[in-house]
Amino acid sequence: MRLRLGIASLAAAALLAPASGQASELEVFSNTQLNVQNQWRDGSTTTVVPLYEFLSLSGRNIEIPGGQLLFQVDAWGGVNLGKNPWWNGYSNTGSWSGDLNLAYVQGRFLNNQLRVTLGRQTIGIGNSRMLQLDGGSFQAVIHKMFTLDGYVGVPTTQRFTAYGNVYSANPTIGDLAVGGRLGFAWTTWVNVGFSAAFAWDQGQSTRENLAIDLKFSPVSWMYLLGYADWSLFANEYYGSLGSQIADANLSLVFPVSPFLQFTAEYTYTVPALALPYNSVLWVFSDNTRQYLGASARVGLEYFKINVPLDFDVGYRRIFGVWNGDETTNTSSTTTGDRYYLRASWRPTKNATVGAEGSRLFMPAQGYWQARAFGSLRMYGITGTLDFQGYWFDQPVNAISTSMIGSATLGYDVGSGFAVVGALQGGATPYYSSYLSGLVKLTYNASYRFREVYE
Amino acid sequence: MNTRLLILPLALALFGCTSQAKKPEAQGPQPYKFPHGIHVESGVACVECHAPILKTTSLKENVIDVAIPKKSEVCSACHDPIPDYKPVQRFAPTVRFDHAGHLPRLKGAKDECQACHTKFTEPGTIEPPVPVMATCTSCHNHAQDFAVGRCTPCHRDLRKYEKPAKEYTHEANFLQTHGKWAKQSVTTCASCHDQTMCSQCHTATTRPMPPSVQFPEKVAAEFIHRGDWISRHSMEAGADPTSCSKCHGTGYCQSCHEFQGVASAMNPLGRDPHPSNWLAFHGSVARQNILSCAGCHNQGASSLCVTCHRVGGIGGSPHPPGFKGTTSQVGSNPTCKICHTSP
Repeated sequence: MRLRLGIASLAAAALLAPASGQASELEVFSNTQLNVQNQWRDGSTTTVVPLYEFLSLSGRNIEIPGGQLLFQVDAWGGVNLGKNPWWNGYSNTGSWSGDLNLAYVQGRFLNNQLRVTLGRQTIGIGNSRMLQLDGGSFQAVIHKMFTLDGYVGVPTTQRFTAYGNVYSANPTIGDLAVGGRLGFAWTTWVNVGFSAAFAWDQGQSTRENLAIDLKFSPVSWMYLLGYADWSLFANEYYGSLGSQIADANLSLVFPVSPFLQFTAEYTYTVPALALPYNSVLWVFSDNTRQYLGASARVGLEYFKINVPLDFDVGYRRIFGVWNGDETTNTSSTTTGDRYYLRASWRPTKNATVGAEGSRLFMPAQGYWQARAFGSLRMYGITGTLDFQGYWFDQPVNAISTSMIGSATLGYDVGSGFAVVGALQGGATPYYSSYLSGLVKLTYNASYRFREVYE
Repeated sequence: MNTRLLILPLALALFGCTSQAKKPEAQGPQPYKFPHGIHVESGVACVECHAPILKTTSLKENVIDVAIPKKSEVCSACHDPIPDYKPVQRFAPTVRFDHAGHLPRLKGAKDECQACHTKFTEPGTIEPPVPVMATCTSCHNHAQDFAVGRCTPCHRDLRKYEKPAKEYTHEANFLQTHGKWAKQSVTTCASCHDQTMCSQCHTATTRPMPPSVQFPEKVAAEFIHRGDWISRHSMEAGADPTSCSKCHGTGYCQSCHEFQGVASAMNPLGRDPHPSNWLAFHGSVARQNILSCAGCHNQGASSLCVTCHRVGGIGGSPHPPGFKGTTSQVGSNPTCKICHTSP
């Protein structure tokens, strides 16, 4: 565990040393933040005062023989200044906590046609489901029309503590994960890919999925996006294709302009197949979810009306189908609805005012939501206000409403530094009243090295 | 502590780089000095000074491939003596380009250099004018590369471009659809975005707070977990359980439920989170949304459920109608063996 951290740190330190080749770039984002907040524990509240440091480093364009090198590190650490806070359920007992989100080195070779990445990274290609991985990956252009991606490694876990353990926060658990995607693209019309994702925990399969993804765009104002992820594992235990397709969706997007866009979508999922396949729970369920919806972004500027006012509106119909037990062979369908409407207005370049509302209806529970927000920036000072309320169909913890308001004030100090203070308060089903605050100092800057001015 | 092991060398490295970086910032970029326009108008060929460009296969940082001749009839025609000019070698290439490969194709053109370079640096110029992209696409058909977002073979880094092409803007419901795009082209995303941006939301290592808490000043951002997420998270999970499980392993749910005493087995107050008469209808609830059960009861193969739902147990068969497991599969799958103790 310590060895891994040490290696990652030393690699970063070595790469940050003065470059011997051409100019490279280092981008730094630091967020030092002091929170004062309530935490709810067993019916009572506790005030905690954690101090956090979030640090991201990105080094780019580091010239090496035959290519370029890139590295990224993203980590956070926290120390408790009062009562012990709850560190997301892990390492609860200590005053210190932290984690390493990313730490990888990437080599780019053959005029960027080959990229090889080693370390802690996130894999988003194909059906990898944004897998966080300790291992290696590559992306290669093997022909003008074909690309090949691959990865192998250990699914990352929080605090390096739960590899191959059901307590892992990683949706893909196990001690080995392998996968990749073969992509084919032809002009602007077609981009299609075939991907595979496998994972094992102590030799037992936790994922065995094959997927196909498609983008079809015969005209510039329309895209058809499709995806289907098929479970090889479920194929062994379920006869119907509907129980074997873990996840599928089809979207029709009309990007008429940045101010006018329409989307229609259909999604099909089998929630049980989102579980690791070594979980006994997946054999208890025969439930599918389907979603049919449409959304639109309409900006008045599209209609030559010189008012920067945008509307987002959407609707989704929810279908939940489930089967009974082996003997009755009954099935039932529940339905739900989700609506949302959002309006945002930019009266000046440095001001935004917005309002939104939404409705979720499910037979067992649902809510109405309303929110208003605004931000204004003047003379380097940025102020924001945000109010949000929920009205629940059924009481939560015997309370039917939740109200929260927050205000922030920030100042750009200059040279990449900014300070922000925030206060938030409200009354929710779990806090009859509460007030929390934070103060943070952020630093965001890029450095270029080996620039030579005459 | 592990974190300290990490922070120390990073801080040292950062300090070292910062020290080095201050030098150029203090001086600032020096303007270019050479008056190109008058020389071009006078008919001086570019290669009189830029002869090295004929053999240059790649653009290099702070190298402008210039070699001022000390003796030249062309220069002497106007200058006597020839000025001792020291060129400003300041150049930050944004693309990859092979001059040696391109120039032979322009042989015979009226002025081969000006086929691409229509503007030049003049005394006082800070940012050197570079040919626009249409210059490239007037000869090269990049529709294929553009369609799949394959920009970096030519472009070194797209981060400096403020307005990407229409096809790559992130308008409308991009938050909901960005995953669908990324499935095909994470390399395209990486042209502008680092993984550090992804990890602000997508991280199995668990940040201590959601982005909406870390960045309360970003009121216009569409953060998924904004506001009183705790009170409504079960409703969102009931409406779309798979969307939760794509980011959060059940261990994430379980750790919080145990800590807050929601998981009854770990509850010091002895509260049972299930409604009354739970035993009578828990099966149908599990059938409808097994992920809600998994928030507390997913212990891999050794779940609480198998206490009753096992061969010879009082719970009966848990399998749904379409299940087709065979005895041979029981023998090969350790999970099956938890209940099916004898194949």
